[in-house]
Amino acid sequence: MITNNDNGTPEWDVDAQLTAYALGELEGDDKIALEARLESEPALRDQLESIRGVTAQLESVFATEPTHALTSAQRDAIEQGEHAAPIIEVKPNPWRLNRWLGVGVTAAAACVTFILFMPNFLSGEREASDVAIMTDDVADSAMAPGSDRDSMVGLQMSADLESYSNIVPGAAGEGVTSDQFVGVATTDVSDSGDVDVTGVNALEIDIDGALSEQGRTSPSVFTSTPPPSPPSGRAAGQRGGGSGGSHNNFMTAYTDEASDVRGSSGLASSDMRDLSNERQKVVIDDETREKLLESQRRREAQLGAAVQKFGQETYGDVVHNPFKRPIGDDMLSTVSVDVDRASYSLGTQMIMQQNRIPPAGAVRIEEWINSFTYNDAPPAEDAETPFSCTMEVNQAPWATNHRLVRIGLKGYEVAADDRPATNLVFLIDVSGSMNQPNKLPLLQRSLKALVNELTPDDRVAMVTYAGNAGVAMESTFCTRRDQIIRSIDRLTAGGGTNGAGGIQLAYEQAQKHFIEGGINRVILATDGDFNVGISETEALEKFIAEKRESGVYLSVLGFGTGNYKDDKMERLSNVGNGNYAYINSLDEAHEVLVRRLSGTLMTIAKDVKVQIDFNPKFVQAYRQIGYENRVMANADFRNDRKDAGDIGAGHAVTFLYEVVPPGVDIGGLPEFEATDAEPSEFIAEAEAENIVDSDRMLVVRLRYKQPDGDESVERRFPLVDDGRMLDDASADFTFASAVAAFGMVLRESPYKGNSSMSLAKSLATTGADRFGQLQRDVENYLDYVNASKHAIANEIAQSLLAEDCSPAEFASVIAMTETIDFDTFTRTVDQATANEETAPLATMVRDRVELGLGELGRGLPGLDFQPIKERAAFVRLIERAESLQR
Amino acid sequence: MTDKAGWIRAAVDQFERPLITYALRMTGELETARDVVQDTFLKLWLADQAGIEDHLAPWLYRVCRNRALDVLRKEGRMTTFDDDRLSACAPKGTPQQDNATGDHTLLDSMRTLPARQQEILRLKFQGGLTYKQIAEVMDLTASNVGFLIHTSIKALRDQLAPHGDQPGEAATGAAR
Repeated sequence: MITNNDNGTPEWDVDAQLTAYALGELEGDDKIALEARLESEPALRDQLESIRGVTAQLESVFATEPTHALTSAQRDAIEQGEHAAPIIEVKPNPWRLNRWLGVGVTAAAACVTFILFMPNFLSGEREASDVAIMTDDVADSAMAPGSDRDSMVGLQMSADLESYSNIVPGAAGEGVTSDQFVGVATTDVSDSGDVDVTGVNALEIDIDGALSEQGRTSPSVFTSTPPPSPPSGRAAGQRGGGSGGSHNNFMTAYTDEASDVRGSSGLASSDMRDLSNERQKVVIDDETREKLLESQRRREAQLGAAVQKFGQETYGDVVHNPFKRPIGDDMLSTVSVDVDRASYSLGTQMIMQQNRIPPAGAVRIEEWINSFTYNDAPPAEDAETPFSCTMEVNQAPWATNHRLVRIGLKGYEVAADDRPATNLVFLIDVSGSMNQPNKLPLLQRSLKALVNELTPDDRVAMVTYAGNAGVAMESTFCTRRDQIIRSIDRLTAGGGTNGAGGIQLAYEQAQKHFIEGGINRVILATDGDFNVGISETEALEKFIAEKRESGVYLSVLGFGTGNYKDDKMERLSNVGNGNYAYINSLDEAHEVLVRRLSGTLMTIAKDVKVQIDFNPKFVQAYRQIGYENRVMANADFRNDRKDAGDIGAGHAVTFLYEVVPPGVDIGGLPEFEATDAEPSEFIAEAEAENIVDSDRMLVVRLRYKQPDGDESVERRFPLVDDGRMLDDASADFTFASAVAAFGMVLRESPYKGNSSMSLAKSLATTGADRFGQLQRDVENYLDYVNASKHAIANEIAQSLLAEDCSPAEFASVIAMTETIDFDTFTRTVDQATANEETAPLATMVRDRVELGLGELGRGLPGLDFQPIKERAAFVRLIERAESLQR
Repeated sequence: MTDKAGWIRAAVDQFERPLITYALRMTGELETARDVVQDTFLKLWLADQAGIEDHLAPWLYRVCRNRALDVLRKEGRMTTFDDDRLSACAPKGTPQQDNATGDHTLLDSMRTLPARQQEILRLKFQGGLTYKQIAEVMDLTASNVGFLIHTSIKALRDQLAPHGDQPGEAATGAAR
């Protein structure tokens, strides 16, 4: 398409210049050069005339279009608007917004005030040290401090919220023709990953009925977006109970699916195109159908539960860990670690930006708890174990006669300089659906932020997939960072979904440049389109697992909503020994790819398993909170062939166990209400005789492998309950219990006890109250910074966009980069770099900002706002959720 | 009347018609378009006047656009910026201008362009926005806007070529 003329300039480039010239958009040297060429080249003049012919016609077409005015009532309403409540987007705290927008700070004033405010604030924090329990921890902590750029989800004030897809429920009860049934089913067989997954979901509804004991989704959670109402087909499936293998069940499940797909046809036009293309070819015989069903049932068994489905999005099951008595095999509880935070990030996105309560299946409580920074000390430098284990037991706030045990593991930190050489391959989804502001453009910025963190020894390759898979950039050392950045900038979304070989190509790249003893990782970035070349989920997982054995791991970055396959992304990253993060903003990208980069890239312990050995003397019954899909068989604890989660550098993992002490009535608990409360006297006696007299409430057994090892190491940490009451709980304990309470409410857990949003909020702020004045300062500070960010970003935008922007103005911009809103700022700088006049300065600004980002990512010694900021954001999240529920 | 009220009134006078046309193009319904534009102007009350005064046009278009997309999304009429979907949302049966045969042909040709390109042309030739301002409205880079305008004008030229251009008449149209 691009041909070169004599000057070596691509022909379309000249034409674009002519167009810009005709529209008065060409300036500077380009304009002079073009005018010179116009003088000497008649052909160009003709071209210009032709362009002007069209632009003139366009102007006249638009000028003669009929126009409409507002109605007089509307005009009145606008003029009354001063006194009207803001009607546009309902914010949780409109007064905040008004207050700060009303301030109308100028950039310079805001900047100066901020500088004055900052030391004042810092000294305030130090003064608080004698009253704040956590201050020691804060002072000791060498962890990265919060930067004011970090996500303040509670105060999304920009008028131009990014666009996010809404989920539209399937068209329930619509007549479904056999034609549609065939269409959907065929796509399934013909290797479409997406439909394949949803097909499984439909089948899994069958098992749902059988799982009712363990609790199920209640539709009442979904206040803002009702789930697809079950058509009759689904009901039939449920009647089938767990047996779900009959031809008839298959049919009804798929009929259901077909209507869902059709119901959302308007949303996924590309999917629909695929469907209609495939529709012709299909015929499934009974045998194939049975095979499919069989394989799906196997997979279902692995998953262990039903999967929730919303439009084209899928989320995991809604199983809740039950209470167990510490008898027999249940004396032990075994679980794999999980350091992901995607579920919290996704949930925050839904609550704060989409105004909907997340579906229960999307709330993995462990990921919510693990999204926060705790103050557990990392292991001593000479410690044998690569992570520390901190334990605390106190009252369970939602059932105060129960005990709650918090176990915190904290991996050692690795500075960027100490990180081994890294070989990364980005596997990037560039299908048409990625063409949204919160997908590919955000992905590009995220990758650039990551690349800026890498050291010269590190290398990066890029493979894209959509219509066709291809190597967008051969593996390149980060000494040529500019080239990598340019390649990232060149990515564009578009194309179909019949690609093949993307994932193989990515792993080939990774293996070709394999760094022995280094970090070798494929990073898959997608909005849910898994047509990476292997469409059978099982085959894909097998492929990734094999590659894991060769030392190449997989991490997954999720973007956007609407087509999101949360459960599948999580599983793939688990299989690939990787992390899974959901990136909804540049702030989150910064958190995952800059602040926690070492942890994201570098595994310090793999296959980390935790086994709790409960002492029946202190434990009548127990249950683990969260980690539902991480539960392992007790026997697998010592089976080193069994894969488990990994811990990255600096990662923290928290486990919560709720314990019912002896003597407390358990008759009201779901497990025990229907059964005879009295166990067999023989078992009871045998137990009583065999209990070892110990003061220990439980012993935590940890088992892990070194990152390159095959042999596991085992460590034990005992815990004695000192009978503390909530008043004596640490801030970390109280806060983790707040997150658990909120999570149980969202998950509609039958074990939530007295948990409510207000309990969660009071716990979250009770913990905060221990900071005393510090906390209030922080709140003010956060409010202030957030307001300033927007005001300043606005100012910067103007100065950058101004035609006559001077270097002095840019200098002031540079000085202000400490307090700005990144999304706005980056967009503005991007625009300025595209303008040749402002490009040199804009590039300088960008470099300066990225440098600053990197510095903040590595942290300032001795100061850590991160926990406070995260917790303040969490409180705002609860407040918003409360307002949504009303 | 406060200064701000006067300012907003002036903004309504100046922008209500082009904004409604723009919103109508996106939503396909006049009433919806009017509501969107009403909301857009109401947002001015919350905005910092000094902060947006000198780029009011792109600010209004951007807010209007996001509001229209919000409405479409809430109504479940689209989930993506898919060009095809936007085209499908285009108003049907908008009265066409028959005053000039050339325009009519051009209008037909324009409808064959991807919706995003149509939208950019509208912002450029009806809204009178610069590349940079369009970029601000649509969340693109200015160079991207330049490229898309060039692409769409190229396509229109190619389509119109058999019917002949009118270079002489056109030369005045774009002189600035």
